[in-house]
Amino acid sequence: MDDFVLEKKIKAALAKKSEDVHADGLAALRIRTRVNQRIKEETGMKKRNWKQIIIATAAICILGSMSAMALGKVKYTSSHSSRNEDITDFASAKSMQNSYDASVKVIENFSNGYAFKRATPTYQQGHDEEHNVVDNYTAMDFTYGKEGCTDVSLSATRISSGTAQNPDQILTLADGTELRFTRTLNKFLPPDYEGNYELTEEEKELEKAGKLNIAYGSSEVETISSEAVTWQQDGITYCLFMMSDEMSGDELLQMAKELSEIK
Amino acid sequence: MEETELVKRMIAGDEDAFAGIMEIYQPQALRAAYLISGNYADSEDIVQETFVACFLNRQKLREPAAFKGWFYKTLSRNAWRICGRKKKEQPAAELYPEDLPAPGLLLSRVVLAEEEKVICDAIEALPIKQRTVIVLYYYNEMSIKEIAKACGCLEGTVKSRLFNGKARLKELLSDREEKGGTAWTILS
Repeated sequence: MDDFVLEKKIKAALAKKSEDVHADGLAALRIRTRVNQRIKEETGMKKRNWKQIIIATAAICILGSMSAMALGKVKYTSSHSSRNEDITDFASAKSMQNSYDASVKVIENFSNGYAFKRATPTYQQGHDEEHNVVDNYTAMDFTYGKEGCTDVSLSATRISSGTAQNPDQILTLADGTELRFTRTLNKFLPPDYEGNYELTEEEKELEKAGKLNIAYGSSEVETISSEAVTWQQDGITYCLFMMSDEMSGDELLQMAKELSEIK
Repeated sequence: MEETELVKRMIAGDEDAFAGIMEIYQPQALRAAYLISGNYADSEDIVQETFVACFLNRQKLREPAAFKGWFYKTLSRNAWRICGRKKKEQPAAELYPEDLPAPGLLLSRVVLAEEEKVICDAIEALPIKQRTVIVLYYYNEMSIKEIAKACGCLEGTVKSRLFNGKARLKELLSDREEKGGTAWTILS
């Protein structure tokens, strides 16, 4: 077949097939609506995400403080993940977690109605004081959702090996595992506040108790409460975390108990 | 308003300008995504993700006049990612409903419709990157240079994929003729 003829036929065939697509007003509206929604979510998420990372990191730092001093090796941890790697199917997420570390316990549904929403691989690194990477660990961060409520996230690590100092509540399980609940006040301040911000009396008390976390870099002053339950089992440190104070300590501890009692 | 002006304003964060860009690009982008993915639902996802990515990453576009190439580069990447996630190609047979000729339809129209189906089936059977080049070249009428930028490869690679894609189509179409397919070449 002549090339010229073939090329004409290809053009005609593709043009004809493309007519299957009715790029009409309805499709346009549907796409436009979803695009705008996604942009709002991503923009909001970027704003929330860096704060969540700082809060969660503070929670992990509380965990890691003991090990850093004890081991003298890991001075701080860093981690990164990408929403592009999100997995929204629990079986696949569990399988992925097992490929990283099959000892980590995971759960699909909690009895209080929180259910699996998505999981993302999180690549963790432990650094020494020279900023060298001295340890690596990968685990899935699981996110659970419930209608009308703030998401709860579950993370696991082998790099930090300590649990929360000065917890607000402790629940000790039959096997001796201690679940420690902590509520923290997180204050986000614009960069020019650094070095100039004066703590209120209440904030000073919280800071003494290790319950205040201050971070600089936001565009405006913002205060976010967070809650976390931390515990250790089989060399793994778990953290169940939410960026809100809407849940009672008892309820978050109960969630942690359900997970930790999985065989 | 001229497209480049809209792009400049979009880069500055003007959401109305972005809406204007979507209106200009959506119809053809949706069709190109459909031709590449072979699946309408995926084509909407591909286009949606492409617009989202373009807006969120708009500061990375240094030259507003280069928006089209950048747009189709993003679209190609999203198409490969979304199609790759499915892990299997949707069989071409599932793409086409039973296309029975209506009574009274001229034979030539029936034959041409069959011929187009064969070509589209053959394009659908190509590896996705080859298929993308074929679509961008023959449907979007982009230049080799533009396609090379969109696919993130050398111009030589684009030419090679076009050549191999056409050769494969010729082979598939010749096989069909040998197996006693309709002598559509005579009528065309």
